[in-house]
Parts: sequence; structure tokens; C-alpha cells
Amino acid sequence: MKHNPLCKPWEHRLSRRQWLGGAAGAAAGTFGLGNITTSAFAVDLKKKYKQVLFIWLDGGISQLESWDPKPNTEFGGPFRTIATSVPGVHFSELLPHTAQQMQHLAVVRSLCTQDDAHSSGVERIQRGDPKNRGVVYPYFSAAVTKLLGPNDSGLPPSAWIKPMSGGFIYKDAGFLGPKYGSLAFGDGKPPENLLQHSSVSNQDLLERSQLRTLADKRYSQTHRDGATEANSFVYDMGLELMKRQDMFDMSKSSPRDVERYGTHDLGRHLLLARRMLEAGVTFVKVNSYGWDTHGDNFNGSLSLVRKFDQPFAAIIEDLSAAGMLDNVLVIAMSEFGRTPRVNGHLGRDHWPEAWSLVMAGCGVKRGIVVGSTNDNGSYVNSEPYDIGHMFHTWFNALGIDSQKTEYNNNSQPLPIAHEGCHPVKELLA
Amino acid sequence: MSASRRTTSSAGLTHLLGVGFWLALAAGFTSVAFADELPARIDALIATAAKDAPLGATCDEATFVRRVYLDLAGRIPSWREATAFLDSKEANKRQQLIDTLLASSDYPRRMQDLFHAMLMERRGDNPEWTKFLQASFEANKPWDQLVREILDPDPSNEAIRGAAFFHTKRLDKVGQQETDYPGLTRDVGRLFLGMDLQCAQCHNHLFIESYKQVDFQGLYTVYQNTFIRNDLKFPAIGEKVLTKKADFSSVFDKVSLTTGPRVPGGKEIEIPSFDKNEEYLVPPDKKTNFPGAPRFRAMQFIATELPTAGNKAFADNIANRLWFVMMGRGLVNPLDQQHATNRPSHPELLDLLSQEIVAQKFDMKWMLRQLVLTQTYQRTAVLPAGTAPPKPETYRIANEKRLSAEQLMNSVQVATGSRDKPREADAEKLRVAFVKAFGNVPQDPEVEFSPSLKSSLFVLNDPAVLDCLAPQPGNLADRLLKISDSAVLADELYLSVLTRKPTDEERTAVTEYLAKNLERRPAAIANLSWALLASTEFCLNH
Amino acid sequence: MPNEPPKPLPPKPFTVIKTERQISSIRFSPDGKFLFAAGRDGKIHRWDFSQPQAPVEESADTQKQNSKVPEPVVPELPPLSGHDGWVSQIAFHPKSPHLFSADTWGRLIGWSLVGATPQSVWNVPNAHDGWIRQVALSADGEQLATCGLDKMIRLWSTADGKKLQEIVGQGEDVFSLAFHPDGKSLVAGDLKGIVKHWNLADGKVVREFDAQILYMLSFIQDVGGVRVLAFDAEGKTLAVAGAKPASGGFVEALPHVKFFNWSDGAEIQTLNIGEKTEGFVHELAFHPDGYWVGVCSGQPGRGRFFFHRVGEPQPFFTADKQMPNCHSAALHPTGERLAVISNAGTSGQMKSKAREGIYPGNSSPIHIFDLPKVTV
Repeated sequence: MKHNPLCKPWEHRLSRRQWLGGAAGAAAGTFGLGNITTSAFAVDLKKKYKQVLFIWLDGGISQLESWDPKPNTEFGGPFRTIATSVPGVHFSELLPHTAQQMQHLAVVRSLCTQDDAHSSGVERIQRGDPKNRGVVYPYFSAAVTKLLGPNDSGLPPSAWIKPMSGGFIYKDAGFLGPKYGSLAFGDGKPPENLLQHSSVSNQDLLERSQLRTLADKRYSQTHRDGATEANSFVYDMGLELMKRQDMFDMSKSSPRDVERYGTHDLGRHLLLARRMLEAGVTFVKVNSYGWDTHGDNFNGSLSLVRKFDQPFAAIIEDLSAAGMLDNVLVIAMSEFGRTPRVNGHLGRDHWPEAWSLVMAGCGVKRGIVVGSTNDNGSYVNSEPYDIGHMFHTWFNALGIDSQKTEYNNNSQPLPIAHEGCHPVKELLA
Repeated sequence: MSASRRTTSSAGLTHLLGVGFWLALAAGFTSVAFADELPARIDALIATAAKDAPLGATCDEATFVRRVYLDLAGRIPSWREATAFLDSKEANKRQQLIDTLLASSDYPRRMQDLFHAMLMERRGDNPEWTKFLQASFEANKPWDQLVREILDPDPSNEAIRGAAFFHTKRLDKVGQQETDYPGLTRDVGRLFLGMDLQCAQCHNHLFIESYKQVDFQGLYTVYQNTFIRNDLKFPAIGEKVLTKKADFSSVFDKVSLTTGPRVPGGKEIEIPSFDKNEEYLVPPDKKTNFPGAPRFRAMQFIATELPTAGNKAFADNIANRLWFVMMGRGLVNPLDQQHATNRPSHPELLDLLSQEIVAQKFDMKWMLRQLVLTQTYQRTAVLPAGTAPPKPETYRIANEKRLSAEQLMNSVQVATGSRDKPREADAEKLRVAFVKAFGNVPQDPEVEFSPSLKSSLFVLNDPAVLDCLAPQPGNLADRLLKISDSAVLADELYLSVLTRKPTDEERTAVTEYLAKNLERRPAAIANLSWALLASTEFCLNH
Repeated sequence: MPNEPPKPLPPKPFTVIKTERQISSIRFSPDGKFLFAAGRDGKIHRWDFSQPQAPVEESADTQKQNSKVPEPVVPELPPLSGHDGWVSQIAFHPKSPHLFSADTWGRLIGWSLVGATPQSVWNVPNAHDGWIRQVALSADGEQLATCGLDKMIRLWSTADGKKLQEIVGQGEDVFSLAFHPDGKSLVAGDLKGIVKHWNLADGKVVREFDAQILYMLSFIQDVGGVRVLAFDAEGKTLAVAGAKPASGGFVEALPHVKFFNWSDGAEIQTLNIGEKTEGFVHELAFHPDGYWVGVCSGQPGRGRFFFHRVGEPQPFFTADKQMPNCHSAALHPTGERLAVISNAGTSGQMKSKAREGIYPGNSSPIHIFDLPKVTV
């Protein structure tokens, strides 16, 4: 079916606004697990907070210049390979720091997906490319915050660190509704009005909060539930973010962090991502743009991949050292890979047929490579995995049984991942 | 005596006395002399549907004055206005206040804000559009006429040409996305017919039998043929010459169908064919960029056929939306899901309202007055104790309503006594700031209370709010600072911000807090005021 | 204008040599008898121009349009192996029969061209840590200079491959370098558009030329770089070339050349060529008749070669038809012949038949032109 511009978020949903509660903000109201069937997992989840770091290299990182090098072959490009910390596993020489963290990573070299256009590809991948049921599926970020439910960090459950503008990005949530959108921190900057007004002392701030809470408590005694709860939720979140505004102040980074993460956007944003994960944000997405190297791919990759390598290795190392990697699922990927064929502009074009991604942590086996491509990298010669397989795998890594759990979209049961796919057992610890 | 205990007794009493007695009582309260007048008939239908379930008592005077000011004037009453009403001994004072407000200059402004948010759904502003709405509500323009002017905007009439913004804003290209003709089509259905035909674009609706693909396509044929005119400096929409019907087929059965322009549920119009060079009334002019005025204009056809007394969906939609505005929930809910499988909570009531507004030639001010005069409108929002909360669609107690960004801005200014201060430019800046903080994201209808992180940070830290708490001659902070008796201070504070007297408990709390903070009294007063502004009670029309 | 120098007639297509794979760079041997090519297959390819062959009937080239006359075929000699990754650059010794080649894995090889089959006479596996961007011979042929993405500049003895000197301090990925004809100076250009003039005697920077217009940061991508540095025959003019980048990713870039007066460092001329789809100037060669021959390559299908005399507002000749992706040009020592590499094959991401063994790569046809002598 032709991509339908109209069948967007709220199609086929009769009473979106009934349960929407708090729209238009960073997830006001409560995050009930009410519209998910399978109740057992909710209990499991409470044992430990799971978190996700999702690094999106927009435009398509070349698998050949990163995770699946083919040195000295027709399409192998100019670069050498290097050994990693796991014997027998090699990366492109553009990933020297990450190669030293391979013991934590799981590399998938056998992705074979459906879409070779950015405009639709980004969405299809991030929504898990489910079967078309005429509804718009949530992005992985919205799915995870919905399925994992709230934690007690008091922070927005879904943060998106990206270059350029910020704001509340709600369309990603698909049929789950705006509540499950992400709070985007444009250029890693905090939201507006985070700074305490000069006329308000800390004591004032505290007393204001207490007095407001008291007023809301009184009101709620005689009125319907929900409104005061939502109001308190957003005030508490605002105050929590104010308390943690140092998080956004990169001038307070240690020299060691600055050196290890780098001062470019992706480095700064991954450092901020680490702080947000430490603070308890459930899903942190970090976007890097400009990976669509149709031209001068090799010089482009030199710059891009190396600028990814350094902070990515640093955050893996840091999460591991802090013991957080056990509960944080890290994923780094694009909407597709790049053609083995090198075009006349020394570029590589879009290639969904045989590409790679990397993941780590939380329920994912460590130090392994799954799948393979043929000698010149032009096709997958092991079992090909679609993005649906990855969604199944990630949900299971997070403790969610992807084959039993369903969304309940106004009594329309919907699988959380493509039912034609399955979790990749090899990847799960 | 606490509010909740008061409610218990009156709700219980109502229950004991039964519905019949209560109806008579209601008539007495609202001073509606004849039971066959619309407010009484509305109340009767609500009561009948409630069967034996108790109905909430009439709200107290303080709640009423706040509620009706917010609904008809778009703001809370000032402490002076509130006091005047509360002190009045007139038996008929509620109705008098309603009529005063409907006649005030606040009313058209409130309607302008309300319909701007409803029709544009925070897509953006335009001065020509604002002018159009303002003039329309100042003249109490009938709804059918207003919609006709929107559906076929007349660029030659300066007073109403801004109506085209409804279309042009929706046809604006955003980034690389295609022009959203389906979105415009969908919104015409949603906002003027209460029908979200979105799913019917590609197939007859899966769940909603009455939404047919041809309903969508009949409108889509019209709107996919439109464009934003670039030869004029104000928003204006043009139409290309329409020569052929739209071909479409269901994604399910792939059977090819066609339709010409058609109002959902109406008759298709044959597209006339003209000789070459005869298709234009006024031919295009390349020099001036004038795109030409086609002899047959489908938008004109839709504007003639859609907003009519005979179009039940059109009448039902506005009746339902006005009901929603006053009662906090549509009889059909969601508002754009009017169809056979999503029945109104009170079908006869919707029919009644629909017939009445047609009979009154779509006079919205008249209809709002009728609704405000009902006992249903004037009921308390306080929950009955000891039983489950009544469902919102029963209207047994008043539903709390979200305050719009504009209502909040006006009310913050009234409460803190800073109204009338800002110059025009500052006022606009303030409005933009409040809309940014409290408005929904574009295209998301503002239906329910939706506080957000940005709204909380705005109230916590933005000077637009906090500056109001600094003492200025005659403002709230200034007045409170001059009151030495904390109990009196509490009364004035609560009346100014929440339009009611504090309870004894609240008065005591204020007194104790101030006593503890004698040495930082100005800060303490600001904190007390802030807490009430940030409270849920302030942010809702209850 | 009375003093206007004579212009050559437009180049005349001689033949097109097909290749199986893509090529980085081409050079004619100083005796004009051979054309060598640095292959992106890790090999050095060779063609024998000593005896132009009679046209062969069935070789009618589909790429050459409007040509009824079959093209001459230039015999290919067996390629040279020994490199990894891509052979990035090749350079001939100006006086003796030697060739020097470099690759993207850091290897540098000296070849003897005496005898039927060239032999490697020395081989430095890690001349640089990775990609060797450029090699240049001193005028006397004694020294070979190399630079690379390891930010290093090194000088080697052409006789035995011994490292003579190391110049540290360019600070960035060094894309290009050139010896000044006087043999005392070296210029090197880097990613960020800085050209440094190095004094070979003490290894210190003498001065810098600003070509930062050849660089941009697009999101996190460093785009551009000084792709070409070249002197005219007398060393009076320094040409600095690359492109003025407009975006990363696709890399939209406007071909751009700056000419500097060597004596005082003044900028003589800035030349923008074509559109921003036409990409980088990849090569500039100084013709014995006193003009510059340049090639540029941009987005797939976009590229051209041009002839330019410094001081004139625009190139006096620009190939009127786009020639896809010209990555290198070589001038025959006499100046009578020009070789330009282009690109052929598919780009894009069309559905693959790789599993059935069908997944062709691109190749670099070499277009040979005759350059008619300047007529006065």
C-alpha cells in the first residue's frame, strides 16, 4: 500500500482524548500499564530500572567503514582493519577506541531491511516496521517508555538530545498518543525557564512547592482525581530538572571527560546522555546528523566514524565501570547501511540489503558478532534479520516478552513487534 | 464546615427528594419561568437520563461567578467584581450577570480566542484572521454565515478575507513534506461536521459504517485542487479549473470509483464542462500573477451546500461543540466522532439543541445563554461523598474544564491586579508566551487539562508570571502588604486569586505561615500568592 | 587584446581506455611511452603508448558518441602488485626510469622500470600510519616527499627508500604537497584549508597561505581540504585547489582554485568553476604552453576538465559536456596529449542481484585527448 500521509497517529482510534490525560507536555499524568496486556512482566520490571541509550546516526553509517570491514576486496575501500579486544573480531581502523570495548558489545552484521529512502526509512526502522494495520506505530523510544512504565527519577521518561531545535516531539509516539513523545534538548540545551528567577530564593522555591502541594491536596479531596495528580507531576518534574540543571552545564565537565568524549556535538551530546542516564531518564536518544555520505564517503567516514568512535567507546567504558551497563541497553544504528559499490563521487549510496548495527548491555550477550555478509559485502549470507527481529530482541533484553505482550489500542490488540519476526536468541544473554 | 461535608448533605437531600421535586427546585433557582423553555427542557433530559442517580446541587455563588466569568468573559472576575456579585441581594442576580457578561466587550474577545484555538488548533496566528474572528463575534455573526465565509473566502472583502487563513495555514508546506491536502480535507470534516474522515481516505471506515470513502473523496476532490495565492499580501486561496472527477479505489477491494465535489452525505455535483478559454470568469494574468477565477468553483459549491440548516451533521456539530464549551464534555465525544456507532450520551438532547440552534438561525450567543441558564451548567463540581464519582457524560455534577492559555493569561493578570497595564505590543508578547507554555502542540485539539513540563517551568520561573507578584501600586501584592491582620489578608488573597473565601483551615494555615515568616513578609506573601496561581484549582474552571 | 597569448584548439578525442575497476590517479612516464594508473584495486595498471595500435573493428566504443571511426586500442601491460587497499598515488622519477607508488595502508614502494617487467627496488610498509595522500618528487629527483592522514610529512631518498627527514607540525590530515622547483621549499595543504610553506633546511614553517574557504564543518563532519597544490614551471605561481563546500553527506561543493604569487604570497586570483554539484578540483597540471589543466569531480555524472591561464577571468576552455567524475588528469611530457579519468557504472541503491552474482562495481574509463599545438 502506498505510504498514506493521512493515516497518521490517531487513525482508527475512537477515543484518543479519553485516555490521553496529559498531552502536549513531557508526559503529564500517570503512566499506567493499563492498556498493555500481560501483567506478569510489570512485576519483573520493578526489580530494577531498565534504561536505553539509543544512538541514531542519521543518514546511514557505512558498515564497511565500521562494523563489517572488507579489506582488500573490490568494495572494501581504502581503510585497514584493526583487531578488537575480542580475538578474531575486526573493525575498520576508524574505530580504534571502540575496538577496545568489543568485550562489551554485540555486533549484528546481517541486517536486511525493506526501505532504501530516508524519508520513510527513518520512520520504518524506528517504528520497527510492523505489519501495516492502518495504525501508526510508536517509535522505539515511545514503545519503551510505555512498556517499561515510570521510574521514580522524577525526570521526563524520554529525552532526545539532538543538534538544532528542541521542544516536545510528540509525533514519534504514534497511536500511543502525544504523552509518550520525547522531550528534545536542542543542541543539548536545557528547556526554557529552567533557571531559577532572581527574585525567588531556594527557601521560597521550597515553600512555594509545599504551599501548592497543600492547595492541590485540599482541592483533590472534593474533586475528581487526575487533574491535581497531573499538575503535581509536572511541577515535581520541573523542580527535579531545576535541581539537576548542572547536567546541562558542559563547562563543569572534568578535563578527562572532555578529552575522552570530545568537544564536537556528538561528544558533548553523549556526555550529556550519560548524565541523563545517571539521573534516571528511561530512554535517551542521541541523534547525529549528516551521515548520508553519497559523496566523498571515505573522507566523510574518516571524520564521522572517528568522531563517533571516541565518545561511544567512552560511554560504553563509563557505563560499564559504573555497573550501569547491566541495566542500560545501548544501541547505535542508522536507517540503513551504505552500498558496497562506490559511485563516481567516491560515495556510497543507501543499502538496506546487508548492513550492521551494534548494541550492548542489559540482557545482551557480550563480545559477540552475529551474522555475516558475503566476501564483498553485497548480501547477507547468514539468516537475514529485519528490524522486527531487532525490536523483538531489544524488548526481550529489557525483560519484555515481545511475543506475548501486546498493545491494547482501544481494544484493538496490536503486537509490539512484527509477528513475522522473532527475538535473536544468539544475542540474548 | 468543609466543602465536602456540605456536598454530602445536599446531594443526599436531592437523592431523598427524588428527581421530580428536584426539577421544580431547579426551575426556581434559574428563574426560568416556563418549563417549556430550552434550559428547563435541557435539565429535564439530563435528569431523565440520570434516572435515580442523584444530581449535584447548584454551585455556590462564588463558584458561579468565577465559572461564568471564565466562560463568557474569558477571565476570572476581579475581587471587586466578585465582591459586588456576592454582596448583591438581587434574587435574579445570576441571570443579570449572564446578560451583563454577554453584552460586555470581554465576550467577543473570549469567543475570538475560543474559536481561534478550536479552528486553528495552535497552528499559528495571522492578523487578518484575527480581524475576521473579532469582527464576526462583535457582530454575533451566525455560525452558518461564519463557516460559509471560511469555506469560500472572499478576497475582495477586507473585513472577512482573513478567513482564508483556515485553508492557507493548512496548505503551508512544511519542510519536504507534501502539501497536506488530505489534512485540510480532514479538518473541514472534523471541525464543521464533527466527522473525522481520515480513515475513509483509503477505504470505507473499518469501524464506522457511516463514514464512506466517497465522503472523504468528495471533499478531497475540492481541496486537492486549491492553492495558496501568491499574488496577494493577505492569506488567500485559489482554485484551479476542475475538469474531472476524482478517481479512487479502496485499498481493500481495488474497485475503481469516481466522484465529483460532494458534501458528505449529500449529492454529488456534476462538473460542468466549458469550451476552451471559457472556463474562466476572469482569466489568469501573468503580469499580476492573478491565477484566474474559474467559472465553476467547487469551494463555492461546498460553501453553499455544507453550512446549511438542512445539513444535520453541520447543526449537530456546532450544537455539540457549544455544549462542550460550557459543559466540559461533548454529548458526542470525541467531538469529531459523530457517527452511528458513537452515539451521543443524550441523543434527544443533541437533537433538541441542534433543532433549536437551527431555529435561531445559528445564533451562538443565544445558544450559549440558554446553556448557561441551565441548572446543568450551574451544578457544583464537588464530588458527592460516599459514592463513586459520576461519569462525566452524565453531567450529574459539573465537569471541570481546562483553562485555555488565553484564559490563564487574563486570569493571572486579573488575580494579581496587573491587568490593563501592558501596552499592546507587550500584551501580544505575553499572549504568545502563554500560548507557548499552555497551548497544546499544533494540531492537537485542546480538550482536556494538559499541564506539561513547559507550563510548570513557565509558572515556576518565567518573569511573565513572577513579575506579577512584585508589588506595584494597587496590585495584589501591594494591597496584601498593607493588610496587617493575617486573617483579613487571607480573605483578600483567596478572593482575588481563587474567587472565594478561604476555609477556616486555609485561613489558619495562611495566618500560621505568615506568623512564622514575620521578618520576610513580602516573600511570604509572594509565595502564598504564587502557590494559589500554580494550584490546580486556579488552572481549572470548576 | 594585442598581448593575448595564443589559445590551443579544443582537445580532440583520441581514444577511451576501459578499465575494470576504479582508478585514483594517472601519470605518463617522462619518456611519454607509458601511461600508469594507481588502481583502487590495489594494483598499478600500465598501458603502452609507444606504438599506437591500429584500430580494431569490433572495439567500437559505445561510450563514444557520433564516432564512426573505430578508436585506436592502446595495449595494456600486466599490472603491478604489492599494494593494499587503494594505490593512492604514483610518481615518476624525472630523470631515471623509476616509479614511486603509495597506498592507503601506508606502504611506499620504489620501482625500477628497467627491463620488461618493473621490479620493486625498495618497499617501506609503514611509511605512514595509514592513507598516504600525496607523493611528490624534488626537481632533481633525489627526494620523495609524502604526506598522510597521520598528519605527517616525510622525505625519503629515492635511491634506497631511506627516511631523510620528518616534518611535524602541519597539525591536520595532510592532503597535498608539492616541492618548489628551487628544491629548498615544500608546501603542504591540510584538511582545514591551511597551506604551510616549509623550509626544508630546518624543517620550520616559513609562512602560511590561507585557503580555509576550502573547509567547512557540517554537523560533525569535516568537509573539504586542500586537495591540490601545484607550482607553475618556474615556481612563480602556487595553485591551491579543492572546493568550497556547501554541505557534508552528499558533499555539495563548488570547485575552487586560488593562485598565489610565490614571491610575496599575494593572492593573484580566485577561480570558481561550474556549480556546487561539481565538487572538488582533483588535479591541476601546468602545461608547457603556460596554462593550467584542471579536472573536477562532483556528484555522480558531474565533472569536467578545463584549461585556464592565470589572470583571465574564466577558464578559456571548459569541456562543454559534463564528463562524469574526473578524478585525475595526466599531461603527456610534450604537452600534446592529455589523459583524463572519468567514471562509468551505476550509482544508487537499486535492488541487488548480488545473490545471483550480479553486482557490478564502477570503473574509470580513461579518456585520451590530443591537444593540438598552439597556433599563432
